[in-house]
Amino acid sequence: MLRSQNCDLRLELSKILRMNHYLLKSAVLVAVYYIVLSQLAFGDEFFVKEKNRLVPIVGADNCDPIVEYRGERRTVKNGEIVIKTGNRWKLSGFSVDVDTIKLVSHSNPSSKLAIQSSLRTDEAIEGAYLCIRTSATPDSNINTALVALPILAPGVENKISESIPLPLNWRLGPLHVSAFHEGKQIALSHKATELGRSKHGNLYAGEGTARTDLRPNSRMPGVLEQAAPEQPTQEVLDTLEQAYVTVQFFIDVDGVVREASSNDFTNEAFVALAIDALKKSKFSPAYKNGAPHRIKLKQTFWFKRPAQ
Amino acid sequence: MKTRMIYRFVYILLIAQFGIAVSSASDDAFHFCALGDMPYYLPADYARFDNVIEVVNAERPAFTVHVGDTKSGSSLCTDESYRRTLESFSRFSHPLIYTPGDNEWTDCNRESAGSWDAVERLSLIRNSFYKDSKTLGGGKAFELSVQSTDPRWALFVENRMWSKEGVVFATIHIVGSKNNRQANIPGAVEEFLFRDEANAAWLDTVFDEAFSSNAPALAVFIHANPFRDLKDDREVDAGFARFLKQLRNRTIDFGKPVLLVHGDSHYFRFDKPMMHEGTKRDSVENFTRLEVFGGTNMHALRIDVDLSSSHVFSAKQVIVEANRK
Repeated sequence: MLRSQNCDLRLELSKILRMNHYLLKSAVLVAVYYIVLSQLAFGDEFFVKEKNRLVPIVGADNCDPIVEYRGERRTVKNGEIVIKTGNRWKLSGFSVDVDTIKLVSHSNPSSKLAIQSSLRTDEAIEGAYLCIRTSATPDSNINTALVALPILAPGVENKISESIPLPLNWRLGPLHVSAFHEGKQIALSHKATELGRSKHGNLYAGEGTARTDLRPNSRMPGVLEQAAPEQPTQEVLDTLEQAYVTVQFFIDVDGVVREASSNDFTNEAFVALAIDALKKSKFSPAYKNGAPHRIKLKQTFWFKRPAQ
Repeated sequence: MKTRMIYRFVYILLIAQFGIAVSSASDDAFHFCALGDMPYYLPADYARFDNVIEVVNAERPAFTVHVGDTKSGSSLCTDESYRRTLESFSRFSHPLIYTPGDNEWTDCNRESAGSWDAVERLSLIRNSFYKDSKTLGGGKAFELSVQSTDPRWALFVENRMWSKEGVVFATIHIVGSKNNRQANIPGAVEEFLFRDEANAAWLDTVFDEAFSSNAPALAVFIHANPFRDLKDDREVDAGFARFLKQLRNRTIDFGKPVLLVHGDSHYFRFDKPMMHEGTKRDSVENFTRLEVFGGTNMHALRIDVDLSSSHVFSAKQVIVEANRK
């Protein structure tokens, strides 16, 4: 009898324990959902309802994710807010900083959305440009900003800015920042997802992930040794204050400058000086997917008359 | 009796004439021929070029130098065209030395010429015309010094040097079309820069050789006409500026006759266009330029080299009757 009572007790206990186990599991699950949802902070008060997600870029189906975007959330009562994304897009061999996205929010229907971004490269990349594209509309992508900035100046801040008019009750569509090279999207794409304004005038920058179709073992050519062009003859210098030559050239797989030419110069006498300097410079080749890669670049040389 | 005296008088006259003839030319005098910018308009000029070769062969020169442009710039740069040129060259009965012109390589990128890669065509020329260090043509081929024996300049098989009776001769690869210093053609300026550097080294080698061997004279053969006309106030083309400056400095230092033979403008001339620096009419006296016939003017030049003459070089037109227009 006692044995059967003990057995019953054990059965009851195990039932309770089993139930508690499910309860425990459920509690953990709820907590996780809560934490996740609270982190994502999506709520009815926001116009933006989609969860953060990566928007695939054209031809980027097989991209390798190498950077992560982490935005910030700020709340303001109208006025201006600056969301510093602080992203550093690390692309092997050169880096791109999309450091500031400035959003200006006003209740005035004639408000404009201002986007500012800057990009820094270690080397000049011919044909590459930064593109910011977004839209602001209550219903569809009517207003679209598409701006492009040639990435030609290495080591300096290449700034880009654009603004688009905002309709009433606007909401911001996906914000894309992309880099292109030779007509192909090459380097980065990020969606600062859910950038938008709350009913109370709050702005929000969500989280996202960026991907690149450049593999980590791809890189731009490196300058190992930069030779300065020789000065032209005094006769040539006497004729002008300053001159420039833009040289197009390939850096071949062996790092050697080849097929240099120029159609853009103020004085032909400087072309050979510029190309001579390039030939005397030393480069490491570009790499694409781990293999040396022939790449076309452009560089502008400036010549100024020395101060007397 | 009277008749015998007349015979004796004629005999003495003949002997005297022979003696004068022998004593008027020094023992080491010789002559060579120069031509260039031919055949030009193909295929019509092949036969006219054969006429030139025939006449030049009759001159029995020690050697002939072709200063480049074996076709017009707009005619095709096919492998066959080079083979045909080589075949023509083989008809010279004596040694032939050839330096390339712009038409057979820099101009090959023209659509009418076949849109070739100019540097690739130059490579073919180097492999076809400069297989060894000997002269082309016929007769007794002789050995030439070649710049490519210096590993740094291994590419430049066409820069050659030889001597005869102490006179130093050299070809230097300098061509028309601005010496390929063409900013808008990919790779052209690079090619020019490297060749210009090689040419500078070679010109120094040539003058050093002439200086150290106490050569009585020096002759340099290039294709391009590097000079501007006297009335042309423009700067010397940048493709030739360095060469002309170096040539002037070395010529003045050398102090003995220096002859520059070139083609390119199809205009026979024998003059002194090199001026002292900063002057427009003060010629460098020991420098002489000789431009060959060419283009539609398919004739040759005979250059007599007489060491007993202070000028050493004298030029004579070899007009090919069959090619007269």
